[in-house]
Amino acid sequence: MSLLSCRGLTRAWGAFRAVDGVDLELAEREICAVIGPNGAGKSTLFAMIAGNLRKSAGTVLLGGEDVTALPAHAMAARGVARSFQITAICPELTALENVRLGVQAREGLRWQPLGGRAAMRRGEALAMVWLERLGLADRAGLPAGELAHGDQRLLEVAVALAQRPRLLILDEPTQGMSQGETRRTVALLRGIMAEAETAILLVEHDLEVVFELAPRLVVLHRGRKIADGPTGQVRADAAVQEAYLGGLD
Amino acid sequence: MKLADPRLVLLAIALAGALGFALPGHATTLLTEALILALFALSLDLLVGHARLTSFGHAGPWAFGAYIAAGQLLVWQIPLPLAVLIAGLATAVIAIPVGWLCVRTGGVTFAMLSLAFAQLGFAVVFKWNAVTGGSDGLAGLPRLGLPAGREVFLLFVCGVLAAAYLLAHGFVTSPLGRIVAAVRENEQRAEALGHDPRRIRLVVFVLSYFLAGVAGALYAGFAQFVSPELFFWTVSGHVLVMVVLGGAGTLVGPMLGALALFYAEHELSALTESWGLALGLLFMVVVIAAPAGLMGWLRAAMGARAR
Repeated sequence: MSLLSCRGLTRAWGAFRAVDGVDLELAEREICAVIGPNGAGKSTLFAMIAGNLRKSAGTVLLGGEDVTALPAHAMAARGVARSFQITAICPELTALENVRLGVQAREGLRWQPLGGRAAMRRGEALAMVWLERLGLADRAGLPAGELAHGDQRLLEVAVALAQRPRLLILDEPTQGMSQGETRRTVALLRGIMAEAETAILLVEHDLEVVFELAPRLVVLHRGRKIADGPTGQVRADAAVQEAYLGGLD
Repeated sequence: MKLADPRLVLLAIALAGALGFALPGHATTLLTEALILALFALSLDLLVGHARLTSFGHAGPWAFGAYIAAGQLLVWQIPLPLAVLIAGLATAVIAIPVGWLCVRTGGVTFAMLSLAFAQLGFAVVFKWNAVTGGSDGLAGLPRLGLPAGREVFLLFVCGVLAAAYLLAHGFVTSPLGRIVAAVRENEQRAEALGHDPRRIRLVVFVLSYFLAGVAGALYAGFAQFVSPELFFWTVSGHVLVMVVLGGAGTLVGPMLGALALFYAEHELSALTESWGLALGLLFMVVVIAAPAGLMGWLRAAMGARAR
């Protein structure tokens, strides 16, 4: 059985259909990139899957459970973690505490209004491991808002990873990064993907990044899915060439 | 030792309690009132500083707690400590529906909604003569269950303040308290971590109202008198100034802010009739010179010395 199963997902604003009847299946631990030109509906699709946006039509199953109507926090509680196109971190909290909050969410430690010192220290130790993995350990004590843009993007990924999700949604992880930062990020992501126990849905503008990271490619164009298959095959697809890849070259 | 070390705070509260045996009676009474206001400001800091929900209606839970305590003292003649606890709990219960409505919003809407509830309380106690005594209020509240003497009452207030501070400090450093910080910092991130921002904000709202209700009940026992003025919007503004003056989000700062504002008012009103003007100017100077409040200013001063 697939981990994620979307049927006919649609989001309309008036007559405009940002996403129009998209079907998407994702197996456990599968890694899939979604590409498409600006305004193709990639972020809208992800926002619907993660529960940030209501669906105009269609259904979403997660591990066989109908989660169509669930809000974002309920999706997160069911093992969906995500990074956003516009970085969403807690700027006044330290980098370490941002990631520790991810660990805390994983442990389901929520309604404890007093104490919890020991659990917090354990969480910090685990969070530190994630920061080391992403090369941010030396900046652990800095307020997250003071990190460089690229480091903030990575920090958000670290928070999501610390949640140890079943499904990880990355919305343009290298957005706004320099070439050097992008290369570093891709190397890091590849290492993480190789051993991660999570399925990953990835939106990325940088096609080099996509071809390198994702074995499967889905192409959206004007809200519709126009291709879905192994990366090499989709790359060669004539329709994709015309809609997207050709437009860039 | 850090400036806001809990042990240091508890020591300071204990010292204030001991002062009751050394100070003249009048000064002891002033100190008692100041410390009750410190508790009131502490309760508001949980909302304004920690959750960044700027309430302009904190007179609501304060006066509600005071009236509940007054009713118990007059009708049931129960010991004051018990009346204070029950008043706090009653305020927490009423905070659930009030908070449920208020935390659906934020910013100015939240401020106006909290103000509206406080004004509602004002209207009710003002009109409901038979129960609340209307504009005359309720006088002659007995102080049962405590030995007589100003210094004893001061010690009682210090004990409650210390317990309230420990509760507030324990909360903001707890797992749930850290989630409150995450909701404050980035609601989208908090949701992506699996937390419902509204429910988290409701928790801190209820805790804040509980402590404000306790503070109000203490004030009723202190003044032995309650009136609709307790609900008045200037009370809400006053306590908000204390929090900002002291440094929102530090717990200790707002308590210091309450003491500073209370004593400044007292001294200035003895000097001049236009003390409100002088106080306003003073407040402006502090906000411009120390935007992070007294606490931020103290921290900067100590940091500069350490370097």
